[in-house]
Amino acid sequence: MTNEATVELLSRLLDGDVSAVERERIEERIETDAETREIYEGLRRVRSSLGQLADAAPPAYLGAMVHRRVALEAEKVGLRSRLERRLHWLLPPMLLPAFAVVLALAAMFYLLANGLARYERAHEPLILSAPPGSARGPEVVEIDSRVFVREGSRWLESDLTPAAVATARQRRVRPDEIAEWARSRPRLAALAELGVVVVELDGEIVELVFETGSD
Amino acid sequence: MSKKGREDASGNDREANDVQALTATTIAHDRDLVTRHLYGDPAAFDEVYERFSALVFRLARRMAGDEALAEDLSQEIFLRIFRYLENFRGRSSLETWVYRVSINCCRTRLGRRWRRRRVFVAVEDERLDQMPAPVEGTEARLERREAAETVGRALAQLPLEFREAVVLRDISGLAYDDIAAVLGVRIGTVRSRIARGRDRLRRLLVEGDG
Repeated sequence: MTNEATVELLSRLLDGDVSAVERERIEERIETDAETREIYEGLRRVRSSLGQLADAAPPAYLGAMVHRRVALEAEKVGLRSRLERRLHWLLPPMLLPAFAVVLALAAMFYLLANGLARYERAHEPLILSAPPGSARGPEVVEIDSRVFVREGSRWLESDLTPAAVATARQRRVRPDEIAEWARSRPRLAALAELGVVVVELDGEIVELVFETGSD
Repeated sequence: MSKKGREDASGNDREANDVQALTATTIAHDRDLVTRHLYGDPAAFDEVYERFSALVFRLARRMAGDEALAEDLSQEIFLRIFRYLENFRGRSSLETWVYRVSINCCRTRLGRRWRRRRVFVAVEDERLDQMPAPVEGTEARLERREAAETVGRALAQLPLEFREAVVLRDISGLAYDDIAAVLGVRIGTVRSRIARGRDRLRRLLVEGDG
């Protein structure tokens, strides 16, 4: 059985790439072993046939095609270098890193400002104005970043659960207390304007009923 | 040392000197060519094309396996040469560099193509052992030519790494160390790839077992 090493040696013998010792050994084997001789003859024929493929000549029009593509490439390269030269004239190469930093900062600032504005817009309460001529007021109001939604004749803080609202303790706030509210809770005093409002106050859900002087 | 011995030694020295002088002249000429190209002399690239078009086409033709693809490949190779000629540093001859660019281009283009084509096409009817004896004459030459084309078709079926080694050796006629430089592998790998490539061709053509 002829192994890979023998085939490699036979292949090298064809190229004259063997030492004297290797040559002697492999030539003796070719002489005595029919399988090795057959492989050697096969390799020799392959090599000889491949040698005949060496005369493939390029078609005459290939040169014109290559030169046309190269001319297009040269034009592209020329255009690029003209642009680069113009850019260098407008902006010296030394200033390019500084320009890049300024550009990056400007982009970051724009994105941040834009993002913040979007975020704020997304959290703005929806203030629905009543249709013209309607006696109804707005359906949603915001007081000190807390959003209240109208439900019938009362206002509910929007993030309260219905169950909590249902069990809310009612607390009436008299006119004199309202004045006190304006002092002690100035940020929530505007609730008095709404009349009846369910709100979480000091950890408790209460329905505040603001009494007017006429009640 | 005898007079004849001294003459032989001096002849060998002269030959070595001639080779050295020729190599130095070629390298200087290659560098000059690249410099002219860098300075935008269009005649420099024309010269590159004149010098290497046959070499590039022959390689592309046998790597690709068909004429149309070979033309396309040759154009791509010359486009790459045009783009990257300025990167030639003269560490090898320009010819070796051109071979390297060509082989890389063939690998890029044919790599995927080869992997896609998994079915081995045996050429059972056109066996190598049916090749006529090398008798001169038009008919015999035509038959030999046909047989060689059969080998060419079989060559296109070889895995890329064997094909490139066999093409560089048996068609382009490069020495083992030059092939090693072009392929970026050791000379032992070159020997092995050439042998395995030739053997696969032999099996394919003689036994038809791929």
